[in-house]
Amino acid sequence: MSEVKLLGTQSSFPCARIIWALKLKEVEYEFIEEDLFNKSPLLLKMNPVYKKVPVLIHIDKPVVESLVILEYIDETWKHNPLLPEDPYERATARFWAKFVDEKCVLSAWEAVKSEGENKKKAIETAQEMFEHLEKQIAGKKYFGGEKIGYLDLVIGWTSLWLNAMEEVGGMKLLVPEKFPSLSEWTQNFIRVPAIQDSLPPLENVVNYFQVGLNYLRSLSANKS
Amino acid sequence: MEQVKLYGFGPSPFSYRVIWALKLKGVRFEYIEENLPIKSPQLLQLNPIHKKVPVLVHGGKPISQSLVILEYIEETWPENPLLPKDAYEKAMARFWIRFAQEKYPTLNTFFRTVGQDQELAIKEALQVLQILEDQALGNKKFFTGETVGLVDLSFGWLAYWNECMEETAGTKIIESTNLPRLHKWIENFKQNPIIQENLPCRDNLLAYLRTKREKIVLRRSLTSNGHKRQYNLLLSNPTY
Repeated sequence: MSEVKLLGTQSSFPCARIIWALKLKEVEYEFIEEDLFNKSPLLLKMNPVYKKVPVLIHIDKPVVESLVILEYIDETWKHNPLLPEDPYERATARFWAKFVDEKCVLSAWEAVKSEGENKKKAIETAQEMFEHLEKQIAGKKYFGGEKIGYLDLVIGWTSLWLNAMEEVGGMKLLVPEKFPSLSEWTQNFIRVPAIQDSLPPLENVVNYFQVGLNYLRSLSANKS
Repeated sequence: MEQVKLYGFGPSPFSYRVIWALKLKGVRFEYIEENLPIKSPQLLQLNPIHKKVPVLVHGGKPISQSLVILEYIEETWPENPLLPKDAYEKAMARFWIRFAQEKYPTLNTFFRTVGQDQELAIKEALQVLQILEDQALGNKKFFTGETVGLVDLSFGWLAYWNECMEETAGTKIIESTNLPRLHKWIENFKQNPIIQENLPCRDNLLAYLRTKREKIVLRRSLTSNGHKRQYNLLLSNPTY
């Protein structure tokens, strides 16, 4: 019976964040794949408020929300720290993590969903958000400095999931000419062994987003 | 001792979260009131990404986003801790802090709506409040135990701003009959001496909210009567 379990799906990047963190900390865990269209009683019991993955279960106690889980992992297994020690640097990392989840991810997804003239505007908006990340990584190997850390794991979705979004949305957001530092960072990121060993196949993620997009479109079609 | 400054806005509960945290920790700070919606050059320089209050400046270094600021305060001034020490309890606290932020719009949509939209907003707010009552608060005096902590500060607006909003909008959502534990939490929170001494002036807040509510009601009546031109003129007048 594993002390640490992770409820998730292979193609979900919030789940990937947790897998990466556990691997970097060399924590043994059992991965339980969830079918998000048919959620298990365990998931509904462990995350009754949001009913979402990832859910980390540590000695039968659930922790939910990927950013909360990352901090819990960092505080429970103290070697190979993910967050910096200095409070100001921690605040800066947390600020950018919120920015990524609230602005970058949503604007990228908006660009995937939009069509026509709206799509062009959505791409511009998303690229404005990425511009901020470009400035943050300029001159650094990783967002965490010389080693990858919390913020690298949070932004890690741009290394593969963004490619999948671009394919599904029929557009290019992370243009290397516009974002040379961020593009270089994604290459450095996926070469880290803990990351490399746990990237899902691109076609699975493409399929995951395509199913999601079709579902959203069917919902709005039913409304109109 | 490095200087601490806080840029805030009187009617904003997010600014008060930070004021409360600093006061509970006994941290001396200079408060600078922003004259929103006009944003000072200092604010735009200190928070260029979001251009919002609150912004904490410690030793010349700015931190924005109220919940990020709260964690910074907790880590920089560890006396009178506002988060549990245990990693799991801390994770639970952080979960509810995020919940407070995420559900903030749902909980105050009733103020920005009228008629049937408002009825639906109240229904949705009650569902969220029931989660707070049953799962977040349970039988505890405050969200993380016997004393006020960051989770309470995150929900602090419910203890004061919400009742002013309800009074202005003519609604009654949180009552001792339907949400007894939350109702009691509101009383306990407001009785904390630091909180009590650090709340915005009620009359000023009500006046501010009344102006906002009048615009909302007027906008609804104009747009529903098809008076789009009058509504657009209203929008373009910055002094209204």
